[in-house]
Amino acid sequence: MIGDYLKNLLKVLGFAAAFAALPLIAAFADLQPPWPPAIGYVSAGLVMLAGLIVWEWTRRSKVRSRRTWIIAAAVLTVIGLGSYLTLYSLFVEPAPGAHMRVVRGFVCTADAVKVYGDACPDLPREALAGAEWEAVKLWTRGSLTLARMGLAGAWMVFMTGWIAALGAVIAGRKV
Amino acid sequence: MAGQSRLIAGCVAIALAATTAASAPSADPADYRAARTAARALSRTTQANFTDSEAHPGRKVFDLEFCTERDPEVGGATEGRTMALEDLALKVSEMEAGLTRGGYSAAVFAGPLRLYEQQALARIAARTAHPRRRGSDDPWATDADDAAQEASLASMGRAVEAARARLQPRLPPVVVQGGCGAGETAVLLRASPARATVWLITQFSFDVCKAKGLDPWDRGACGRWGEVALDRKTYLSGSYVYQAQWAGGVKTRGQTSVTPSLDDTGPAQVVWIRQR
Repeated sequence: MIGDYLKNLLKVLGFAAAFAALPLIAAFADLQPPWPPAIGYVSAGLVMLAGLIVWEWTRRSKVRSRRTWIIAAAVLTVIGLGSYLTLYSLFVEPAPGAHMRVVRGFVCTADAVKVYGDACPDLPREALAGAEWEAVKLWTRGSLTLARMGLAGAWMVFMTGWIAALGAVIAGRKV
Repeated sequence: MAGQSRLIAGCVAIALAATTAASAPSADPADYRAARTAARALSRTTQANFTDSEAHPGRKVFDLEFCTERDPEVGGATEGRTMALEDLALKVSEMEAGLTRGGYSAAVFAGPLRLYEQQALARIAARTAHPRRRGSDDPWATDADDAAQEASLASMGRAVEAARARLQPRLPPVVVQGGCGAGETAVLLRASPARATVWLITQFSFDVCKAKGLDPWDRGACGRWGEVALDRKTYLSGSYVYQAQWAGGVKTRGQTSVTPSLDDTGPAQVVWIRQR
């Protein structure tokens, strides 16, 4: 009787924890990279995949094995977040007055070199405003692609690590 | 100077043709034909609208959505059927001239372009029969008209591209891409006094011309200037340089900036170009 009550209580607490995590997920949505446009769906897919994989591998494993997973996932999380925040600070420029972020590049176009010379590639925000906020006018497409891929890659490493760590902690616990 | 005279003469011809027809009781497309003739003359300087593909980075495409709009009215209409006819005449002429300049044969685009034109004329005729929506930004056209026009343009783009792939596979693909900047905001450019001709260029393009040793104010030498339509929604984002000219030769120059916005539902920002 008391055992059933405690089980139900734990389920309720589990639901409460899931709801409490919603603002955290929403905050991640604000932090996610500006490119590609459907990164939200990519992240959701990745979260599901990482969760399922970790669940599959760790739900019946021993505590020691799960701890190895947790540590590896935590290291991945820290590396992913550290890289992502560094790249974000270097390459993402918020536009004024709009919920819009522009990814910068690191090699100037020929036109931008003519105009800004030695200031390339670290161009001021005014340069973006003058180019209708189109980064491709100022930086080469190759450098923009690499910057975007770097941001998206670091984000995915972070998300995978985070979900893997959570999954490994939760999996195997008896409720 | 001769070019300028032709431009003004063309604009006046469009305005006169369309205004005369607007006062006529019938929806005879003769007025449109006159506007098209004048618009063709105006579009002689239209360039091929080659741009980078957004869907396939690094690939060049021809965009049927031109970013610059010509001002068809040196004394023309600012709303209603007349303006719709002027707009259509200029849009069709601009696409025709741009595609021709880009090397596309008439066999590729003439049929779909004609269909697009006929569909637009049918919508204009329908709206003439049932005008409505007073008090909005555009008191004449409706959202449904805009959506139908977009669908019609997209359909034409697909037809032209199919013909291009078959008949001229070596030329860049033809697409309807649009977008002249990130976070473009609806802007109404207004001149005081009214009836000016206004040209815009991005600050960056202006600086590029200067860096290349060209006179950035010379629209011939610095070919990145675009003439913009006054009192109509234009989508801009960032910093621009403008020059304006009024009848009598009075000119002004200046800079303006438009804060980007992703909200396209609010009222358009109004930017005034004033004589100094």
